[in-house]
Amino acid sequence: MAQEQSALELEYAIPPRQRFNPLKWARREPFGAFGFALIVFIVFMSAAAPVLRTAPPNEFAVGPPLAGPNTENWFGTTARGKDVWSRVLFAGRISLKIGVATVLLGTLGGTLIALLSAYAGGAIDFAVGRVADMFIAIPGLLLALVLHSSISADLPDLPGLQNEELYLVVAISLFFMPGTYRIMRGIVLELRESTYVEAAQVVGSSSFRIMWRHIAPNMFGLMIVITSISLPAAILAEASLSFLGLGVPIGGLDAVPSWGADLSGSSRRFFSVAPWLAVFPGLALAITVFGFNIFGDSLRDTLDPRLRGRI
Amino acid sequence: MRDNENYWQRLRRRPVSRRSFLVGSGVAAAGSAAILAGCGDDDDDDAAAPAATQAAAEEQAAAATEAAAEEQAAAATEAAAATQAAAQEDTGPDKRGGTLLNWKTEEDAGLDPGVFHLSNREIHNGTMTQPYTYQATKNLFSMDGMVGFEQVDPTTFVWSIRPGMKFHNGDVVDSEAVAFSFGRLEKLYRALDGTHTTRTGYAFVDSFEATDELTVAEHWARPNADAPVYRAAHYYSFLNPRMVDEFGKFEGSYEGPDGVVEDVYSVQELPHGSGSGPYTMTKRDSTGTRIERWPDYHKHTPADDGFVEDGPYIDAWETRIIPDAVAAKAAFLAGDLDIFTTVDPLEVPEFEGQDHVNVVEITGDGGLCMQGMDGGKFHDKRSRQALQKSLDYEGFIAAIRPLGGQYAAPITDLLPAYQKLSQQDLQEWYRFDPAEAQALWQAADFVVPVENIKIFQSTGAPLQHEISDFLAQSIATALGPIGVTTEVEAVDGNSWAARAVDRSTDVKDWEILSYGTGDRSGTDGIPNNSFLINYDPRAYGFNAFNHYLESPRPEIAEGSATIIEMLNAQEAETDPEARGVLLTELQRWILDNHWCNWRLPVSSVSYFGFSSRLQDQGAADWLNGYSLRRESMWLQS
Repeated sequence: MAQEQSALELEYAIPPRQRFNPLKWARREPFGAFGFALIVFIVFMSAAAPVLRTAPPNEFAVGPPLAGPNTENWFGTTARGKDVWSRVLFAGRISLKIGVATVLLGTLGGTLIALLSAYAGGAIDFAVGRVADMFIAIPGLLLALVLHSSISADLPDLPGLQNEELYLVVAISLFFMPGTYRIMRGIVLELRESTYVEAAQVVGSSSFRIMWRHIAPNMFGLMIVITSISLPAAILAEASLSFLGLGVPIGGLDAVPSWGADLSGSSRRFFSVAPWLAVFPGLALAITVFGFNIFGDSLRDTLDPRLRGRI
Repeated sequence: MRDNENYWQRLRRRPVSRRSFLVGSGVAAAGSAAILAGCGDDDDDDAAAPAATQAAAEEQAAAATEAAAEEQAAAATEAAAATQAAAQEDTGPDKRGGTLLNWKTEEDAGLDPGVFHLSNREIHNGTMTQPYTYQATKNLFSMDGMVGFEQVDPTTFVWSIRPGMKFHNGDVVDSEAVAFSFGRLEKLYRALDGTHTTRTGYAFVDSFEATDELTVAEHWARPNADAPVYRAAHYYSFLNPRMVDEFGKFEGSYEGPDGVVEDVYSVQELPHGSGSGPYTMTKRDSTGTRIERWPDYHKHTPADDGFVEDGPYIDAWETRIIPDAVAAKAAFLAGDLDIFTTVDPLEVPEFEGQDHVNVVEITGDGGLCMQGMDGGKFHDKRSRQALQKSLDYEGFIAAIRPLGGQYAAPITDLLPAYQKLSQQDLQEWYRFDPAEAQALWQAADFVVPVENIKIFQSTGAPLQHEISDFLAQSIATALGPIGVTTEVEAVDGNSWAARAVDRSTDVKDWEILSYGTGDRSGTDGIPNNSFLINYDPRAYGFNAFNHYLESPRPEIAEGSATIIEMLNAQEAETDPEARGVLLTELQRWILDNHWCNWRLPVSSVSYFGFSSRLQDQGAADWLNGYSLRRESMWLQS
């Protein structure tokens, strides 16, 4: 009897939660680990920019105009003698800030809307779905242009997020939110029909409790995957908008350097005679996006192997 | 189980996934970049090259400046002789034909020649007739719609109109039409409450009178030394009165000196038949404009320099709208444009390496690089002086004019007969002194408190951003410690112009109006236009900078009265020597009082790019717009 009980306990026992072993994960996902290392590197360089810079990023004539990479100005100088190395370092800050803020808003917002509308179903779900369709139908760039001319001046300065930065966050988030909503809605519809949700309904759990305790936790893994995959796209979107002059202001004492803006403006006039103006900001942008992309892919494989190759 | 596998084992069993594709692409891109970088030129001397370029350019600039006066005179004489000879030669079938490819940054907002709008000069110059052109570099009048003029007495000027001219709808160009065209400028100015038209060009005129079919007389209230040159501007285009009657838009009413109220109309669309120039407009939309040869264009006999007896050599002008100067540069280098007048000195080596491009160098004052100060806010001269003490001039020259910069006076040094202030003189007014700037600012009286200085500029020229950026940084550095902040706002050209001249309140919604990049030499030969008009309380001083006679700020009103008197005195002086003395006094007064505008250091050398197929383009006078009317320009096939 005791032996039978012991065998049963063994069969149905909940296996102990495996501790996450980073080394093991790195061996299994070497490119993911490499991507993570790149992200850590970029974050470190951006955070340490005030220490690592060789000149204030906006200061004119710190070197001769259009000087190539040299011992004084490691990445060369712009046409007005600004130090490219320092600008590349500082520009990482705005890219990461906008990228993270955008993805948080876009993913959390899209997930929350999906959870509420799909669980409610019926007319609400239909209406929200059509609004999402409408936003998906509008080209992202056009949406950004419309928002720039309509709301950007009226947005407030938030702590750590100035008016122009907030515009970027809103414009890019609105682009990502409908996509996130669509993916998440499918998951909620699937989870809503699961037996444990039906069981919770039978025992009289409130809708809020079901959503919060039973459905939301099961969306978390996918949400992380979507976040990691959207982040590089958001960084590229920020660079694109800055390239078009719709991003952070590029003039003034407190102007924030941006990789996209540095690839735009007057710099473009000199790309053929001073390629370092394009190479270094472009490389920094490419490394960041590449890092987030391969890390996101590995994360997806780890958290939800069923999605491999589907997102 | 899965944990026991490593990545490489799994990779072998797996088809190409998105991730492996990404990885592969990344590696391939990095490899390609490395290979491409390795295949580039040997850049061992990268750091030395700009220094060498700079040194060479400085040497060139110095040498050019020394030789400029003699060379310019000699070249001008040679060019005039050559062009005149060419004009007298058989026109030759090889010169005639082709489409000149031009560009502009934005669509025009109107075409009436009596109302200032941006980006419409190609239409005025092509489709309308003006009295003549004046080439400042040659001090030469070339007759167009007029065949002669005479100063009958100090206040009477008489014009003789070219016989046989017709508007494009067949109406005859006569003295009534010409007197109407000239006389409506003042009326439009009044009706529109101050257009940008250079009012100083007609403010001294009492009346324009058609004395017979081909003669117009101007009666002046006071003598004016520049009157003949003024009439070369496009504002004095001959406009068909019948088209204004039929298609005019009501702009307001004007009460004449005799108390008679007259309605004033404009023709912003410039319907066919409005002009009598060598071309007619065949396209005008958001992509650009096109003007094509008008077959019934009158004969230019005899053809003065720049004109051709049988009309222009070039068949058509295509002007594309390219908002981005960098895109325009790419189009120019690709051979899709014939003109690119915004060549940055640092770009010159790149341009010179192209076979199909000619770069023309012009030494001297780089033109407008103005910072207009709102007199509604900066009424106390100490506040304006504080701003001017806040710019790091040497730093500005090093950063913005790295291949040669110079201090700039209220009038250009391209008028050597009038400009007597040296660079050493000017340095006395242009000194960077943050401590004194702070003291002046704190001592200054402000009716409207100013804590933030908004530098307001138009988009388009990338260099404009750099100039405003430097200015904002420098002022913030100097005045930041006493709580003054700075910002830069850039909008499109038409919005910028509208807000610049908005007079709905006593103060502007900006503090400093930034305009001009100071890298393009040019003068039409008139001190007012180069650049006294920007300080004039009856012109830009009034409508753009709130420096005017009726200002509610007593200091501004008082200063306006003084400067108007000085402006009038120099305008009326016809002896160049005596006028030079008056102009020097006037400039000293402006600089001592930090009046209205502040000229930042400008380039000492400017560059224009032309396609090598464009011949006889009259580069030296290009910026005055007279070259756009140069019928002797031709395209080499």
